[in-house]
Amino acid sequence: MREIVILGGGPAGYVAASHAAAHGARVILVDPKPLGGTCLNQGCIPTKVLVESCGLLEKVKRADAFGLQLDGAVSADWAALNRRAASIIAMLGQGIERLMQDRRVICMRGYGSFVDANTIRVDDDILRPDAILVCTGSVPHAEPQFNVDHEVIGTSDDLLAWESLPKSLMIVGSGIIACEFAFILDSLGVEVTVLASGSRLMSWADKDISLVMQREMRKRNIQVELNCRVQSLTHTAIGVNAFASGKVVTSAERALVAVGRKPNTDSLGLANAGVLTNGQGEIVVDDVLRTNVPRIYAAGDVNGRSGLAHAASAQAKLAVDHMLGRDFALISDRAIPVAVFTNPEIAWVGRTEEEARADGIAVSSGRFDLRGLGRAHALGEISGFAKVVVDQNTGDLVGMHIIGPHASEMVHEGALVLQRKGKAAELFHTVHAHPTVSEGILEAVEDALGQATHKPLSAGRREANVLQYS
Amino acid sequence: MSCNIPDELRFHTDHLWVKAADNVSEVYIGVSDFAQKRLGTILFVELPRVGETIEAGSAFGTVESHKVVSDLIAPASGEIVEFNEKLRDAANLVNADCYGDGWLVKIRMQDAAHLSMLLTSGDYRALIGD
Repeated sequence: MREIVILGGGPAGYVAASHAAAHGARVILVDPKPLGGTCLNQGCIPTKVLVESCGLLEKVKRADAFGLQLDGAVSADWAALNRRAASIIAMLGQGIERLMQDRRVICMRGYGSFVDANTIRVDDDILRPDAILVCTGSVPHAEPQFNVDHEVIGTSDDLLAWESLPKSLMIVGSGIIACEFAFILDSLGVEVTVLASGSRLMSWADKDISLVMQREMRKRNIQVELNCRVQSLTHTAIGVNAFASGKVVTSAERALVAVGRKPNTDSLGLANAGVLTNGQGEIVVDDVLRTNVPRIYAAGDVNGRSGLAHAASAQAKLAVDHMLGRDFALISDRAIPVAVFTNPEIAWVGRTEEEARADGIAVSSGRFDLRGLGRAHALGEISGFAKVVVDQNTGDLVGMHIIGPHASEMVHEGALVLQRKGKAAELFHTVHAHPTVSEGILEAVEDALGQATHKPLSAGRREANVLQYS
Repeated sequence: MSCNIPDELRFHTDHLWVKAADNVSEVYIGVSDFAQKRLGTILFVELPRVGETIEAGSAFGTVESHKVVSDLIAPASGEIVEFNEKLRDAANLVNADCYGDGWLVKIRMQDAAHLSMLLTSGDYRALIGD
């Protein structure tokens, strides 16, 4: 029997605990806060609860377009939305606790830190396990010049705790968190301005996805300022001013700073154990999540490899498999899907066309606008597209990029093909149910390989059809 | 499909019209009747802001209908001096009155002589086979 101490009970830590205990390890899970981590308590789950209410609110407001007559007005109640989020968080948190009890995982409420490479202290308790897994996640990061006071200028953690919503909000940042909150708060009636430092939103996403999202924001009257590198935020009598290029670029009642997250390692005493971190404080790990110190592993946001909960869970299982001497499969970061819960949703897996070309892969792409699908019209959500990126020489699927309703559910067929290094033609040969939004993927693959059924005949159809590689 | 192609306007092969404003160097730009009919009910028009420049032959915005999102290709180069704010809440004005209330932008042309190089109504009718 091996004993493992896991620091942090988020999607890396509690999944590692469940997995390790299920395979015979004695597990001690240490977290000062309720289990579930940022994901459950301040991230993925509460924001998705809000996204769902916002989507419903927007649809109800368009009831007449669906042939429904609505008597009376509908409006959002911020306090009630948060009560719903809190009750879902509590229910899911209890579920994790019961899971830990079922596996006989010992949960310790407290801050764990390294005394030396073999020893962990949790308050007055000293632990000397056979292996240690660090899963302490990340925290919002904001430079001092943003003057975060948590009330008027806050991070995502603060916003979710605000008791009321402002009339207007500026969002500094253009990543997943910034974009999700822009749509949420706009739906809730807040005047939103997004200040993006780059030339497009979510600059690492497919560039056409950025364009559609920017158009959707403009449709909703969300102000988007691109190439706007905010130097500082300052308090005023009525709110906040944002300065860029030495002048005030926008003013709002409050500000959300969503410029990134940093590893949560400050109070871990990593130096006592000799665990190496890089410039941003991320714990350096190898392919099986080992640090430079034997028997100390790190999974999830804390190692900086990915900022995604599902990647954290996958890493955690791999780390446990390795420390228990079980069979393991390395994780291909290229096959980890990304889901963004804007309106419309965004999801992708694999490389964009630009990334593939930069990596020296000759690619072709196929695209299908979802407004060509019956289901999209029935849903009343016609904006967006599915795009596939295909290796011209081998026919391998290189990437899948979707913006549209249910994108976060659709992306997994791409993830499946990518993790098995499969061909795009496998998607073409997979009959897709009708009427579904997923038919857009089939059409995009057809478009990449030759001719989409529901697109006008392309003039320059390529002679060498990659279907021949199927 | 019979289309209204007014003789006093100039056209571009990508189906936008150009009309001289009172000031010689300024022109209004809009979507042709042929294009608005082909697009179907227009839901949203994405336009540049005042002060931005557009370049002949390049996309300067998009027009979105139930059927398609289509790039708006600039018929002339110049600087945006005004855009049609009414389209913000009523994009289908482009369907209802493409040569009037449904205009898109007013630009100050880089080269006023460019206007005479655009298609005449007759040329444009021939192009669309009307």
